[in-house]
Amino acid sequence: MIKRIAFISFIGIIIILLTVELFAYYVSSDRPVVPSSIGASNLNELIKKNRTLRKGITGLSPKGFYIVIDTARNLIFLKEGNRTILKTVVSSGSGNILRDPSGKREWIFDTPRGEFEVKGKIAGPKWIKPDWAFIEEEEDIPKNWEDRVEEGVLGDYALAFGNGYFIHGTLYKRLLGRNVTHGCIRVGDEDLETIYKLSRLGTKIYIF
Amino acid sequence: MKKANLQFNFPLFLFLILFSLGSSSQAIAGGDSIGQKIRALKDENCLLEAELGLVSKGTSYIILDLRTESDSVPVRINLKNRGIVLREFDAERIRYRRTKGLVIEPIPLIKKMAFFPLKRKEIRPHKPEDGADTISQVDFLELKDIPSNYTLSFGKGLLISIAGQPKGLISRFIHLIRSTLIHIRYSLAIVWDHFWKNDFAIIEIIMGNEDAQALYWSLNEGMSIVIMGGHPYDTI
Repeated sequence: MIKRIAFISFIGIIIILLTVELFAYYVSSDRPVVPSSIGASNLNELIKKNRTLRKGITGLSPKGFYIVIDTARNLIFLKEGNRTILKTVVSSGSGNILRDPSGKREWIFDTPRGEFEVKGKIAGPKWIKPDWAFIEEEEDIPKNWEDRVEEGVLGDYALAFGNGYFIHGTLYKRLLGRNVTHGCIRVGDEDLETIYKLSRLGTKIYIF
Repeated sequence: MKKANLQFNFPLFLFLILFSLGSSSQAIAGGDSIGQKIRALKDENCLLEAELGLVSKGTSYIILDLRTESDSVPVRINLKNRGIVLREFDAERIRYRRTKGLVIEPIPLIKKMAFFPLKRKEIRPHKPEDGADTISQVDFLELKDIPSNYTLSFGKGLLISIAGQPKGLISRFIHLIRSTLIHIRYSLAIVWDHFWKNDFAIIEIIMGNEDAQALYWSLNEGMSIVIMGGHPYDTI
Protein backbone atom coordinates (compact mmCIF):
# COMPACT_ATOMS: atom_id res chain seq x y z
CA MET A 1 0.00 0.00 0.00
CA ILE A 2 2.78 2.43 1.01
CA LYS A 3 4.73 1.45 -2.08
CA ARG A 4 1.69 2.18 -4.26
CA ILE A 5 1.15 5.61 -2.65
CA ALA A 6 4.83 6.42 -3.10
CA PHE A 7 4.70 5.34 -6.74
CA ILE A 8 1.54 7.35 -7.46
CA SER A 9 3.06 10.40 -5.72
CA PHE A 10 6.21 10.02 -7.79
CA ILE A 11 4.21 9.84 -11.02
CA GLY A 12 2.13 12.83 -9.86
CA ILE A 13 5.28 14.90 -9.24
CA ILE A 14 6.61 13.97 -12.67
CA ILE A 15 3.34 14.97 -14.33
CA ILE A 16 3.38 18.33 -12.49
CA LEU A 17 7.00 18.92 -13.47
CA LEU A 18 6.33 18.05 -17.09
CA THR A 19 3.36 20.44 -17.11
CA VAL A 20 5.56 23.21 -15.69
CA GLU A 21 8.24 22.37 -18.24
CA LEU A 22 5.78 22.44 -21.14
CA PHE A 23 4.36 25.77 -19.95
CA ALA A 24 7.87 27.22 -19.51
CA TYR A 25 8.77 26.04 -23.00
CA TYR A 26 5.60 27.63 -24.38
CA VAL A 27 6.17 31.04 -22.76
CA SER A 28 9.91 31.16 -23.52
CA SER A 29 10.69 33.48 -26.37
CA ASP A 30 13.55 32.78 -28.72
CA ARG A 31 13.73 36.14 -30.39
CA PRO A 32 16.54 38.61 -29.67
CA VAL A 33 15.51 42.25 -29.38
CA VAL A 34 17.04 45.17 -31.22
CA PRO A 35 16.99 48.48 -29.29
CA SER A 36 14.42 50.87 -30.71
CA SER A 37 17.11 53.53 -31.19
CA ILE A 38 18.41 51.63 -34.24
CA GLY A 39 16.28 53.25 -36.87
CA ALA A 40 18.44 52.82 -39.93
CA SER A 41 16.99 50.38 -42.40
CA ASN A 42 18.98 51.36 -45.46
CA LEU A 43 21.61 48.74 -46.26
CA ASN A 44 24.36 51.18 -47.30
CA GLU A 45 23.68 53.45 -44.38
CA LEU A 46 24.08 50.52 -41.97
CA ILE A 47 27.27 49.29 -43.64
CA LYS A 48 28.74 52.79 -43.38
CA LYS A 49 27.68 53.15 -39.76
CA ASN A 50 29.18 49.78 -38.82
CA ARG A 51 32.43 50.58 -40.60
CA THR A 52 32.72 53.80 -38.59
CA LEU A 53 32.04 51.91 -35.34
CA ARG A 54 34.64 49.26 -36.20
CA LYS A 55 37.20 52.00 -36.90
CA GLY A 56 36.36 53.55 -33.54
CA ILE A 57 37.06 50.25 -31.76
CA THR A 58 40.30 49.65 -33.69
CA GLY A 59 41.38 53.20 -32.88
CA LEU A 60 41.14 52.45 -29.17
CA SER A 61 42.97 49.10 -29.42
CA PRO A 62 46.64 48.94 -28.35
CA LYS A 63 49.25 49.95 -30.90
CA GLY A 64 52.61 48.15 -31.23
CA PHE A 65 53.63 45.57 -28.64
CA TYR A 66 51.40 44.79 -25.72
CA ILE A 67 51.44 42.25 -22.89
CA VAL A 68 48.61 39.90 -21.92
CA ILE A 69 48.75 37.98 -18.62
CA ASP A 70 46.43 35.04 -17.93
CA THR A 71 46.52 34.58 -14.14
CA ALA A 72 44.36 31.44 -14.28
CA ARG A 73 46.82 29.52 -16.47
CA ASN A 74 49.85 31.56 -15.32
CA LEU A 75 50.85 32.53 -18.82
CA ILE A 76 52.25 35.73 -20.25
CA PHE A 77 51.92 36.70 -23.92
CA LEU A 78 53.88 39.38 -25.69
CA LYS A 79 51.80 40.37 -28.69
CA GLU A 80 51.72 42.75 -31.60
CA GLY A 81 48.29 43.01 -33.21
CA ASN A 82 47.02 39.43 -33.45
CA ARG A 83 50.56 38.00 -33.62
CA THR A 84 52.03 36.33 -30.53
CA ILE A 85 55.73 37.17 -30.24
CA LEU A 86 56.31 35.27 -27.00
CA LYS A 87 54.29 32.95 -24.78
CA THR A 88 55.72 31.66 -21.54
CA VAL A 89 54.84 30.48 -18.07
CA VAL A 90 54.80 32.86 -15.08
CA SER A 91 53.82 32.94 -11.41
CA SER A 92 51.04 35.29 -10.34
CA GLY A 93 49.25 36.30 -7.13
CA SER A 94 48.38 33.60 -4.59
CA GLY A 95 45.10 35.14 -3.48
CA ASN A 96 46.09 34.41 0.12
CA ILE A 97 45.37 36.69 3.06
CA LEU A 98 47.88 37.96 5.61
CA ARG A 99 46.72 39.72 8.77
CA ASP A 100 48.85 42.00 10.87
CA PRO A 101 49.00 40.45 14.38
CA SER A 102 47.89 43.84 15.73
CA GLY A 103 44.66 43.31 13.78
CA LYS A 104 44.87 46.75 12.19
CA ARG A 105 45.92 45.74 8.70
CA GLU A 106 45.20 43.01 6.18
CA TRP A 107 46.71 42.18 2.80
CA ILE A 108 45.15 40.13 -0.01
CA PHE A 109 47.82 38.90 -2.40
CA ASP A 110 45.92 39.14 -5.67
CA THR A 111 47.42 40.20 -8.96
CA PRO A 112 45.40 43.25 -10.02
CA ARG A 113 43.30 42.77 -13.16
CA GLY A 114 42.43 45.09 -15.98
CA GLU A 115 44.37 47.44 -18.21
CA PHE A 116 47.74 48.79 -17.08
CA GLU A 117 50.83 50.21 -18.73
CA VAL A 118 54.55 49.98 -18.19
CA LYS A 119 55.36 52.88 -15.88
CA GLY A 120 58.98 52.09 -15.20
CA LYS A 121 61.84 49.95 -16.56
CA ILE A 122 64.52 48.94 -14.10
CA ALA A 123 67.69 46.97 -14.81
CA GLY A 124 69.23 45.27 -11.75
CA PRO A 125 66.23 46.00 -9.51
CA LYS A 126 66.44 45.98 -5.73
CA TRP A 127 63.49 44.95 -3.64
CA ILE A 128 62.34 47.48 -1.08
CA LYS A 129 60.61 45.08 1.29
CA PRO A 130 57.17 46.30 2.32
CA ASP A 131 55.75 45.82 5.85
CA TRP A 132 53.96 42.58 4.97
CA ALA A 133 57.25 40.89 4.03
CA PHE A 134 58.49 41.37 7.61
CA ILE A 135 55.16 40.41 9.19
CA GLU A 136 55.01 37.24 7.10
CA GLU A 137 58.43 36.18 8.45
CA GLU A 138 57.70 37.25 12.03
CA GLU A 139 60.34 39.94 11.93
CA ASP A 140 60.25 43.45 13.36
CA ILE A 141 59.49 46.15 10.84
CA PRO A 142 62.70 48.18 10.42
CA LYS A 143 62.74 51.91 11.05
CA ASN A 144 65.55 52.59 8.58
CA TRP A 145 64.81 52.54 4.88
CA GLU A 146 68.18 50.88 4.15
CA ASP A 147 67.19 47.83 6.18
CA ARG A 148 64.36 47.15 3.74
CA VAL A 149 66.56 46.83 0.67
CA GLU A 150 67.21 43.33 -0.62
CA GLU A 151 69.26 42.64 -3.73
CA GLY A 152 69.08 39.81 -6.25
CA VAL A 153 65.57 38.52 -5.49
CA LEU A 154 63.83 40.30 -8.40
CA GLY A 155 66.10 38.97 -11.16
CA ASP A 156 67.87 41.13 -13.73
CA TYR A 157 64.98 43.30 -14.84
CA ALA A 158 61.69 44.69 -13.57
CA LEU A 159 58.79 46.42 -15.29
CA ALA A 160 56.66 48.53 -12.95
CA PHE A 161 52.97 48.75 -13.73
CA GLY A 162 51.72 50.81 -10.79
CA ASN A 163 50.88 50.57 -7.08
CA GLY A 164 54.08 48.68 -6.30
CA TYR A 165 53.39 45.83 -8.74
CA PHE A 166 56.12 44.60 -11.09
CA ILE A 167 56.84 42.05 -13.77
CA HIS A 168 60.20 40.75 -12.58
CA GLY A 169 62.54 37.73 -12.43
CA THR A 170 62.61 35.06 -9.76
CA LEU A 171 64.83 32.80 -7.69
CA TYR A 172 61.98 30.28 -7.44
CA LYS A 173 61.96 28.98 -11.03
CA ARG A 174 60.43 25.65 -10.00
CA LEU A 175 57.31 27.56 -8.95
CA LEU A 176 56.72 29.11 -12.37
CA GLY A 177 53.23 28.10 -13.48
CA ARG A 178 51.78 28.38 -9.98
CA ASN A 179 49.95 31.11 -8.14
CA VAL A 180 52.49 31.83 -5.45
CA THR A 181 53.37 35.54 -5.52
CA HIS A 182 52.24 38.50 -3.46
CA GLY A 183 50.66 40.06 -6.57
CA CYS A 184 53.67 40.67 -8.83
CA ILE A 185 54.31 38.62 -11.98
CA ARG A 186 57.42 36.45 -11.88
CA VAL A 187 58.98 35.46 -15.20
CA GLY A 188 61.98 33.25 -16.09
CA ASP A 189 65.25 35.09 -16.86
CA GLU A 190 65.50 34.69 -20.67
CA ASP A 191 61.86 35.48 -21.36
CA LEU A 192 62.00 38.44 -19.00
CA GLU A 193 64.91 39.86 -20.97
CA THR A 194 62.91 39.64 -24.23
CA ILE A 195 59.86 41.26 -22.64
CA TYR A 196 62.02 43.97 -21.05
CA LYS A 197 63.78 44.79 -24.32
CA LEU A 198 60.64 44.94 -26.45
CA SER A 199 58.57 46.92 -23.94
CA ARG A 200 58.64 50.66 -23.72
CA LEU A 201 57.24 53.08 -21.18
CA GLY A 202 53.51 53.15 -21.93
CA THR A 203 53.35 49.59 -23.34
CA LYS A 204 49.90 48.29 -22.46
CA ILE A 205 49.47 45.35 -20.07
CA TYR A 206 46.18 43.42 -19.92
CA ILE A 207 45.72 41.17 -16.92
CA PHE A 208 42.77 38.83 -16.42
CA MET B 1 14.33 -6.67 -11.03
CA LYS B 2 11.94 -4.85 -13.31
CA LYS B 3 10.95 -2.46 -10.52
CA ALA B 4 14.56 -1.66 -9.77
CA ASN B 5 15.14 -0.81 -13.41
CA LEU B 6 12.02 1.34 -13.53
CA GLN B 7 13.06 3.32 -10.45
CA PHE B 8 16.58 3.85 -11.72
CA ASN B 9 15.52 4.91 -15.17
CA PHE B 10 12.82 7.40 -14.22
CA PRO B 11 15.14 10.31 -13.41
CA LEU B 12 17.02 9.64 -16.62
CA PHE B 13 13.76 9.52 -18.55
CA LEU B 14 12.60 12.79 -16.98
CA PHE B 15 15.95 14.40 -17.66
CA LEU B 16 15.91 13.36 -21.30
CA ILE B 17 12.42 14.74 -21.81
CA LEU B 18 13.25 18.00 -20.04
CA PHE B 19 16.51 18.30 -21.89
CA SER B 20 14.97 17.72 -25.28
CA LEU B 21 12.17 20.17 -24.58
CA GLY B 22 14.52 22.82 -23.28
CA SER B 23 17.08 22.57 -26.01
CA SER B 24 16.80 24.88 -28.90
CA SER B 25 18.47 24.81 -32.24
CA GLN B 26 20.63 27.83 -32.85
CA ALA B 27 21.09 27.54 -36.59
CA ILE B 28 20.96 30.70 -38.58
CA ALA B 29 18.43 30.75 -41.35
CA GLY B 30 20.01 30.78 -44.77
CA GLY B 31 19.10 33.05 -47.63
CA ASP B 32 20.47 36.29 -49.01
CA SER B 33 17.45 38.57 -48.94
CA ILE B 34 17.98 42.27 -48.22
CA GLY B 35 15.79 41.90 -45.14
CA GLN B 36 18.08 39.29 -43.66
CA LYS B 37 21.16 41.34 -44.47
CA ILE B 38 19.64 44.36 -42.76
CA ARG B 39 18.80 42.24 -39.73
CA ALA B 40 22.35 40.94 -39.53
CA LEU B 41 23.75 44.45 -39.95
CA LYS B 42 21.41 45.80 -37.27
CA ASP B 43 22.62 43.06 -34.92
CA GLU B 44 26.21 43.91 -35.74
CA ASN B 45 25.43 47.58 -35.24
CA CYS B 46 24.09 46.91 -31.75
CA LEU B 47 27.12 44.79 -30.90
CA LEU B 48 29.60 47.36 -32.22
CA GLU B 49 27.88 50.21 -30.39
CA ALA B 50 27.87 48.22 -27.16
CA GLU B 51 31.49 47.22 -27.66
CA LEU B 52 32.63 50.75 -28.47
CA GLY B 53 31.15 51.93 -25.18
CA LEU B 54 33.01 49.19 -23.30
CA VAL B 55 36.26 49.70 -25.23
CA SER B 56 36.33 53.39 -24.35
CA LYS B 57 36.12 52.50 -20.63
CA GLY B 58 39.19 50.21 -20.84
CA THR B 59 37.63 47.47 -18.72
CA SER B 60 37.47 43.78 -19.62
CA TYR B 61 34.17 42.48 -20.95
CA ILE B 62 32.57 39.32 -22.34
CA ILE B 63 31.03 38.79 -25.76
CA LEU B 64 28.79 35.75 -26.08
CA ASP B 65 27.64 35.22 -29.65
CA LEU B 66 25.06 32.47 -29.73
CA ARG B 67 24.86 32.65 -33.52
CA THR B 68 28.14 30.82 -34.00
CA GLU B 69 26.82 27.53 -32.70
CA SER B 70 26.62 24.65 -35.16
CA ASP B 71 27.74 21.06 -35.05
CA SER B 72 31.27 21.91 -36.07
CA VAL B 73 31.72 25.42 -34.68
CA PRO B 74 31.20 25.75 -30.92
CA VAL B 75 29.78 28.83 -29.27
CA ARG B 76 32.69 30.91 -28.01
CA ILE B 77 32.74 33.08 -24.96
CA ASN B 78 35.24 35.82 -25.70
CA LEU B 79 36.92 37.71 -22.90
CA LYS B 80 38.00 41.04 -24.37
CA ASN B 81 39.57 44.35 -23.46
CA ARG B 82 40.01 47.35 -25.80
CA GLY B 83 38.63 45.27 -28.67
CA ILE B 84 41.31 42.56 -28.39
CA VAL B 85 40.44 38.98 -27.46
CA LEU B 86 42.25 38.07 -24.25
CA ARG B 87 40.94 34.51 -24.15
CA GLU B 88 38.38 32.36 -25.93
CA PHE B 89 36.37 29.80 -23.98
CA ASP B 90 34.59 27.07 -25.96
CA ALA B 91 31.14 26.04 -24.81
CA GLU B 92 30.40 22.37 -25.42
CA ARG B 93 26.66 22.76 -25.08
CA ILE B 94 24.32 25.71 -24.63
CA ARG B 95 20.65 26.02 -23.77
CA TYR B 96 18.95 29.39 -23.95
CA ARG B 97 15.54 30.23 -22.54
CA ARG B 98 13.89 33.54 -21.78
CA THR B 99 10.57 35.12 -21.04
CA LYS B 100 10.94 38.25 -23.17
CA GLY B 101 14.28 38.46 -24.89
CA LEU B 102 17.55 40.28 -24.37
CA VAL B 103 18.51 43.59 -25.85
CA ILE B 104 21.99 43.49 -27.40
CA GLU B 105 23.66 45.82 -24.91
CA PRO B 106 26.15 45.59 -22.00
CA ILE B 107 24.70 43.81 -18.98
CA PRO B 108 26.73 43.99 -15.75
CA LEU B 109 27.68 40.93 -13.70
CA ILE B 110 26.14 41.35 -10.26
CA LYS B 111 27.18 38.19 -8.46
CA LYS B 112 29.02 34.91 -8.88
CA MET B 113 27.20 32.16 -7.00
CA ALA B 114 28.61 28.71 -6.29
CA PHE B 115 27.46 25.91 -4.03
CA PHE B 116 31.03 25.58 -2.77
CA PRO B 117 32.27 29.17 -2.96
CA LEU B 118 35.91 30.08 -3.23
CA LYS B 119 37.66 30.34 0.13
CA ARG B 120 40.86 32.30 0.49
CA LYS B 121 43.64 30.76 2.53
CA GLU B 122 45.24 32.66 5.36
CA ILE B 123 49.00 32.91 5.72
CA ARG B 124 50.28 32.17 9.21
CA PRO B 125 53.40 34.24 9.86
CA HIS B 126 56.43 32.07 10.54
CA LYS B 127 60.19 32.45 10.69
CA PRO B 128 61.89 30.86 7.67
CA GLU B 129 64.09 27.96 8.69
CA ASP B 130 67.59 27.86 7.26
CA GLY B 131 67.75 25.61 4.22
CA ALA B 132 64.12 24.53 4.50
CA ASP B 133 62.02 24.67 1.34
CA THR B 134 59.10 26.44 2.99
CA ILE B 135 57.61 28.16 -0.03
CA SER B 136 56.63 24.97 -1.86
CA GLN B 137 54.88 23.66 1.27
CA VAL B 138 52.54 26.65 1.52
CA ASP B 139 48.97 26.06 0.48
CA PHE B 140 48.20 28.42 -2.40
CA LEU B 141 44.90 29.26 -4.03
CA GLU B 142 45.01 27.68 -7.49
CA LEU B 143 42.76 26.84 -10.40
CA LYS B 144 41.90 23.43 -8.94
CA ASP B 145 40.37 25.20 -5.91
CA ILE B 146 37.98 27.20 -8.11
CA PRO B 147 34.41 25.93 -8.54
CA SER B 148 33.53 24.50 -11.95
CA ASN B 149 29.75 24.58 -11.33
CA TYR B 150 28.32 27.99 -10.61
CA THR B 151 25.74 30.57 -11.61
CA LEU B 152 26.45 34.09 -12.78
CA SER B 153 23.75 36.59 -11.94
CA PHE B 154 23.66 39.56 -14.29
CA GLY B 155 21.41 42.60 -14.45
CA LYS B 156 18.10 42.56 -16.38
CA GLY B 157 17.17 39.17 -14.94
CA LEU B 158 19.89 37.29 -16.82
CA LEU B 159 21.29 34.15 -15.24
CA ILE B 160 24.09 32.13 -16.76
CA SER B 161 24.63 28.70 -15.30
CA ILE B 162 28.06 27.21 -16.00
CA ALA B 163 28.78 23.53 -15.50
CA GLY B 164 32.12 21.82 -16.05
CA GLN B 165 32.11 18.62 -18.12
CA PRO B 166 31.94 15.76 -15.61
CA LYS B 167 34.63 13.05 -15.58
CA GLY B 168 33.94 9.56 -14.29
CA LEU B 169 30.70 7.72 -13.65
CA ILE B 170 29.90 9.18 -10.23
CA SER B 171 30.49 12.78 -11.25
CA ARG B 172 28.44 12.17 -14.41
CA PHE B 173 25.58 10.94 -12.28
CA ILE B 174 25.87 13.94 -9.91
CA HIS B 175 26.01 16.20 -12.96
CA LEU B 176 22.86 14.59 -14.35
CA ILE B 177 20.99 15.14 -11.08
CA ARG B 178 22.26 18.68 -10.76
CA SER B 179 21.34 19.56 -14.36
CA THR B 180 17.86 18.15 -13.86
CA LEU B 181 17.34 20.12 -10.64
CA ILE B 182 18.65 23.33 -12.23
CA HIS B 183 16.42 22.79 -15.23
CA ILE B 184 13.37 22.28 -13.02
CA ARG B 185 14.25 25.33 -10.93
CA TYR B 186 14.61 27.49 -14.04
CA SER B 187 11.37 26.17 -15.52
CA LEU B 188 9.57 27.11 -12.31
CA ALA B 189 11.25 30.51 -12.38
CA ILE B 190 10.15 31.08 -16.00
CA VAL B 191 6.54 30.26 -15.13
CA TRP B 192 6.72 32.46 -12.02
CA ASP B 193 8.21 35.38 -13.93
CA HIS B 194 5.71 34.98 -16.74
CA PHE B 195 2.86 35.50 -14.28
CA TRP B 196 4.61 38.36 -12.48
CA LYS B 197 5.69 39.85 -15.82
CA ASN B 198 9.39 39.96 -14.86
CA ASP B 199 12.21 39.77 -17.39
CA PHE B 200 14.02 36.49 -17.09
CA ALA B 201 16.66 34.96 -19.33
CA ILE B 202 18.61 31.80 -18.65
CA ILE B 203 21.62 30.49 -20.46
CA GLU B 204 22.90 27.09 -19.41
CA ILE B 205 26.44 26.37 -20.58
CA ILE B 206 28.39 23.14 -20.34
CA MET B 207 32.11 23.50 -20.94
CA GLY B 208 35.43 21.84 -20.12
CA ASN B 209 36.17 21.68 -16.39
CA GLU B 210 39.33 23.79 -16.54
CA ASP B 211 37.70 26.33 -18.85
CA ALA B 212 34.78 26.65 -16.43
CA GLN B 213 37.20 27.21 -13.54
CA ALA B 214 39.31 29.68 -15.53
CA LEU B 215 36.19 31.60 -16.54
CA TYR B 216 35.11 31.87 -12.89
CA TRP B 217 38.61 33.09 -12.02
CA SER B 218 38.63 35.67 -14.82
CA LEU B 219 35.24 37.23 -14.14
CA ASN B 220 34.90 40.15 -11.79
CA GLU B 221 31.67 41.52 -10.42
CA GLY B 222 30.79 44.65 -12.35
CA MET B 223 32.22 43.26 -15.60
CA SER B 224 29.78 43.49 -18.54
CA ILE B 225 28.53 40.91 -20.99
CA VAL B 226 27.04 41.49 -24.43
CA ILE B 227 24.94 38.67 -25.82
CA MET B 228 24.08 38.25 -29.46
CA GLY B 229 20.89 36.27 -30.05
CA GLY B 230 20.78 33.04 -31.96
CA HIS B 231 17.53 33.30 -33.90
CA PRO B 232 16.37 35.38 -36.83
CA TYR B 233 13.69 37.99 -36.28
CA ASP B 234 10.13 37.54 -37.41
CA THR B 235 9.88 41.09 -38.61
CA ILE B 236 12.43 43.71 -39.62
